[in-house]
Formats: sequence, structure tokens, C-alpha cells
Amino acid sequence: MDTKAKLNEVFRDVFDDETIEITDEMTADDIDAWDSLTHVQLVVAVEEAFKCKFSTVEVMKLKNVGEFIKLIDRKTGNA
Amino acid sequence: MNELFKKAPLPVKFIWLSLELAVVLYAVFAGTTTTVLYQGF
Amino acid sequence: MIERLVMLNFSIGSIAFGVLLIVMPLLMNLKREWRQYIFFIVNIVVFTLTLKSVYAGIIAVFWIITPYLMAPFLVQESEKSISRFLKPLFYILMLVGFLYLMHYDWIIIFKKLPYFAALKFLGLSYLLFREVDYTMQYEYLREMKVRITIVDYINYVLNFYTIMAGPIMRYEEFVTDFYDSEKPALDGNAVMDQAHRIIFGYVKVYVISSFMSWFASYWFGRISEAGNLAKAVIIYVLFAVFNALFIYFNFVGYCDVVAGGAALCGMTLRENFNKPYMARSMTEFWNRHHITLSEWIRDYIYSPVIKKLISGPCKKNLFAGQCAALFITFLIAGIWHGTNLNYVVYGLLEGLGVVISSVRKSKLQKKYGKKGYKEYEKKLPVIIFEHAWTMLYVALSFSFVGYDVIGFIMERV
Repeated sequence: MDTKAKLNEVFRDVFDDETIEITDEMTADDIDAWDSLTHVQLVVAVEEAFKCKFSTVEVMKLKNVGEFIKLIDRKTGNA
Repeated sequence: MNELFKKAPLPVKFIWLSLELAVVLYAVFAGTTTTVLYQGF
Repeated sequence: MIERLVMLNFSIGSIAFGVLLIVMPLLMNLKREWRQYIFFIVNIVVFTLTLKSVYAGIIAVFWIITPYLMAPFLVQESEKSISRFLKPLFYILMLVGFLYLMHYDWIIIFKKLPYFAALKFLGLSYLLFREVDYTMQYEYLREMKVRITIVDYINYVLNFYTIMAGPIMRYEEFVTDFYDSEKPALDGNAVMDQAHRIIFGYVKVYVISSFMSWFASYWFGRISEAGNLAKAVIIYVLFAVFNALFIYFNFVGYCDVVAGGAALCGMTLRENFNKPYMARSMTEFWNRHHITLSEWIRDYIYSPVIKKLISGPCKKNLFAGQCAALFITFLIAGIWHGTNLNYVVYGLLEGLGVVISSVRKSKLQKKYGKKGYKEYEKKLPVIIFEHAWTMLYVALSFSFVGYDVIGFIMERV
């Protein structure tokens, strides 16, 4: 399973919404339940799913889902 | 206030500034005893 | 002790600052290629002249240079790299040094160590904020090829406009803005607008806020003459409201002066205020008041704390984790504001206020649903209640800033 598909699973899990289809340009504005709390929850869930750790600054700089995928790939050595 | 000032014509701006400056200088020389907060942290 | 005889008084009301306000825009425009060096020299000279003792100078050099030299070693390249130990150690030492230099009244351990007031230097805590930002962002800055030199670093941390009380810029923000070549040169109109911002800022500090401060001390002095409790409470609220207004106009005026001054030199500072008293909850208030501090604590205190809580002890109850993280964050932010116990109470009140506002919002959203909550928020009585409650709560919590309320209560109990 590639990073995007796996990340999609995490998104569906965290936001409790089976209809979510993530895209590279997607941001927090596109998902209603995406607030500061679910954001942290999302980061923690991604860390668990992909077995890696992000620093505060790395998370801070993310602009959209595409960048998130790139970050995960870099951390897990898939890039 | 800043928006209003931006819209004012030039002569008005000059008068406005001088009046303001006069008020500040008067306040300072009359010896208002304001401590400027947050400074010296 | 080696204390200096002549020490520069540096605040926005000082002659030195007034002279710089006028001279700097001219100096900085001498030659475009020189401006960072001119700014560098002025920043160092100003900072050196304000030092209260030689010891303070030694400590300050150490305090400023260490983060610059250490930043490359704090980058974590792999799971096993040395920075894994170095990084926490670095920040712990920085925090301990900061607590010692600030000399908090209620930290008894530091009271037993040798200390004298002339050790403290200008802008100690704002230097800390900027240094944490620089070291934390270092890896990212390198990646993004943001310009890093010792001159830029010193200009960033010692920027004389912001050294006293912010706004807290980010390194990337500061450097990008400083070398922005596409920025249009100031024309006559823009200079007038900035001059107005500066002078009106001084009006806010020296006329409006000083008036408010006069009222606040007047009512503070009347509390003990109230006779009965109800009267005392009313007078206390009056005092608190005027004191809050004093703080607002004082700080907003300061920010206007430095932002206007910096703008005349071609630098854009971050805006620190966005009509704070229009806020309808404590959470919103902190998004509108001292914005750069709120953002700094969000990134460097709240985020790591909530991450720790949610991935550990609060895994089952996320909302409790969020509330705990908010409380801890605002407690720390409050305590930072001053060295005595009044500021601990202030921090507790801020933490409590933000938690109450989050709990209330979550309860209401559960009760009415997300759409229903938006409708509920539009009702006039709700609007009035939220505005009034927020203003009153802010005023009451701010009453511990600048006045020894605890001492006042203790005297009477």
C-alpha cells in the first residue's frame, strides 16, 4: 500500500468519516472536523501508523496534505 | 484613527500631526508618571 | 561589584530612543548594501550601553552567542545521534539560566545563590523567545536556504526596536522581510502615515494610558475605605477595568511606536493586536491580544505538551488532554509576566479562563450541534453576555498585573 492510501485510512479513522478522499492540495479548511485538537490527534495517529516521529517545527510548516505525504516519505525512507 | 488619517488631505495631516505632537510633548513635560509596561523584562 | 556609573536609559520614552527614531531611517537609507551592517553596529552599541554591569555583559555575550554556535549540533540527524541528549540538555540549561537571571520571588532555591540586580540585561525574556525560535527552526532554515549569518542573527535577536517588549518576530520572517528587495521605497505619504502611527502611539502611552493608570490607582486606594463587601467588590471592578485599559493602551501604544519606527527603516514588524476587547471568549482574546506571544507559546509550549498528553496519559480522553495542555500553557505564560506570586495567580486565572471557554464551547456544540451552535452564537443576549463576561474576566485576571493584590488581601486577613 502506498503512503497516500495508508494516510487516507488514518484520515478516515481520525475524522470518523468513511467518505474522505485525500488529495495533495487538501488543507484543514476542507474537512469540517479538522481543528487544532484533531490536528494533533492526526499527527499522533500518523506517527503510530508509519512508525516515525515528527518534530513540532516539521508539523508547523505543513501547508497541505501533499506536503504531509512528502514528509512521511522522507521520514520512512520511501522518498 | 490610522485609517482616518490616511484619508485626510495633506494640509489636514500636517495640522493633525502637529497637534498630536504638541499633546505628547505637553504630557511628557508636564510630567505624566506613566511607567512604560513590559519593558526591562 | 563592578557597576557602571553611566548607563543608558532605554525605553520608548528615552531621549536615546527618540534620537534613534529620527536618525535611523536616514542612516539605513545611506546605501542599500550597508544597511545590515549599520543596523548591526547600532544594535550592539545600544545593547552594550544599557548593560548595568560588566558581569551582565559577560553573561549576555554567553547568552546570545551560545544558541548561535549550538544550533547546528541540535539538529537530530538520526535516532542515535548525540543531539538526542544534547537538545533537551540545551533547553533545560537555558530555562534554568533564565529562571535564575529573572530571579523569581517564589523559587526559593535561586534565592540562596549569589545574585545582584545589575546582572539582568535588557530584553532578557524576549531574547530567550527569539533564541528558542532560531534554534528550533535551524534545520528548516538550512533546508529552505534562508540566509544565516552572524550579522543577521545578531540583528534578529538584538533588534533595538523589538528588544524591549517584542513583537516576537520569527527568524525566517525577520530575514525575509529585511532583504525583501521588491518592497517599494517609502514615499512622502507613507512617511506621514508612519509618523502619525508613532506619535499617536506616544499619545496612547503618555496621555490615554497614563490617564487610565491614574483612575486605576485612585480606585485601588479606595477599596479599603469601602465599608462593606458589596461596595468593595464594585470598587474593585472599577479598579480592574481601568487597570486593564491602562495595560491595553500602554502596550498597544508601545507596539505602534516601534512598528512605525521600524517601518521608516523599511522593516515590517508583525502586528501584535487585533481589537482584543472585541473578543467573545478568553480563547479569542488571546488570539487578538499580544498575538506574537500567543503564537510563540502555541508553537513551543502548547504543541509539544498536547502531543505528549494525547499520545500518552490522555489517549482515551482527548478533550481532557486538550484542556490540560491549555491550562499548563497559559499558566506558564502568566507566570512569565512577572517575578512575584501575583503573576502565579494571574497565570492560574488565564489558564482557567481559557479552559472554561473551551469546555463551554464543546458543551454547547454537543447540545445544539455544529450548525445549531452557529445560530445560537448569533442571538443578541448571547452576544452581549459573551462580550461582557470576557471583558470582565480579562479585567479581573489583569488586576494581578502591576498591583500587589495578594499583599493587599494578606494585610487584611
